[in-house]
Amino acid sequence: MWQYEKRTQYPIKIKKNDAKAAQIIISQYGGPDGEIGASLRYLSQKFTFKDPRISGLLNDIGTEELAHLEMVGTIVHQLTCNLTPEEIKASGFDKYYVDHTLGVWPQAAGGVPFTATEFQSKGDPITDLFEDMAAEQKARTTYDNILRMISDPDIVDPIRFLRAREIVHFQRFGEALRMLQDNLNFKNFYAFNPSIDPPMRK
Amino acid sequence: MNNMNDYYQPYRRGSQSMNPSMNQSVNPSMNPSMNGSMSGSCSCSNSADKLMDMIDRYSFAMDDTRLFLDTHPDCMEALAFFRKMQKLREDAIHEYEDHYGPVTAYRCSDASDSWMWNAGDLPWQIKRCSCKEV
Repeated sequence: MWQYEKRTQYPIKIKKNDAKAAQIIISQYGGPDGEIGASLRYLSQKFTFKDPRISGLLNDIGTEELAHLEMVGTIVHQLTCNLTPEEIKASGFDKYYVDHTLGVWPQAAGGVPFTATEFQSKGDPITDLFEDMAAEQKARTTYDNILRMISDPDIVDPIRFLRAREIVHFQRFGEALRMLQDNLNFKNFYAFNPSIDPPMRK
Repeated sequence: MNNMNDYYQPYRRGSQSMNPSMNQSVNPSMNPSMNGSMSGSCSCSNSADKLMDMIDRYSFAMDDTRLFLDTHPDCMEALAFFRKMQKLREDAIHEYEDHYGPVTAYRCSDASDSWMWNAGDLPWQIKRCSCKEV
């Protein structure tokens, strides 16, 4: 289960509305490499990992991703909460506004709704960990792209925090993959599913 | 408390350029140096904000070290650091909850006679700070 704490993982105090920035950043809420996909990926994959250390790592990182989802939602909310109709029209936010008003809804920057087809839960630990490492890199790239287009330090600060976490998670998943492979036949890492096929410890 | 600054080094407020050395600096350092200023906090003297800032820092130190320990369960240095941060975090949360309202869902302070869980600003709201800056 989870328990809520009344705080964001990293403080977010944005003073100025910026609907253009919000339309870009919302991709990390519900886009292809966003935080909802990240948390659902790890929290779904965890069930079939046999090694409790790696299963637990997936649970811990998936939990942190939920906190990141809240952070990105908070950024989008604080960037849009006081927009005037003129600002909405001028910034191009009108196409989002007509369907969602100032609500925060999981979509990519291009308007594509969040979908579970953006991640896998394959039931094969090696397959899943490679996807997880790629996912962290894709999210890091997205944050890099956001940072190239944003200059308000109130936004840049928490985005840089989130970017750095992708790198740490990539590192931990890499270590988890190594822990997993250390218990397999090193001549045959990729030819079977360690969750289902008989263990081939060497 | 100053030694928490190492954890915030790569993304400290005010340093806007992307730091090419981030890969190294985000790894948990068990010997954090004392440098820099508070990050992400209002510069006013609001003690609730300052206390929450410390809770964020201790909690993040634990979040980061938890993942490190998941893949390095035998690292005694990291384990000792986690326990040290745990104590600091618990003390800071209890102090905050006794004076300013709930932080955690499983603890209701004796300091108030009414249900405070959903009172006041929620974390995603723009904080109305008492200082003139915000």
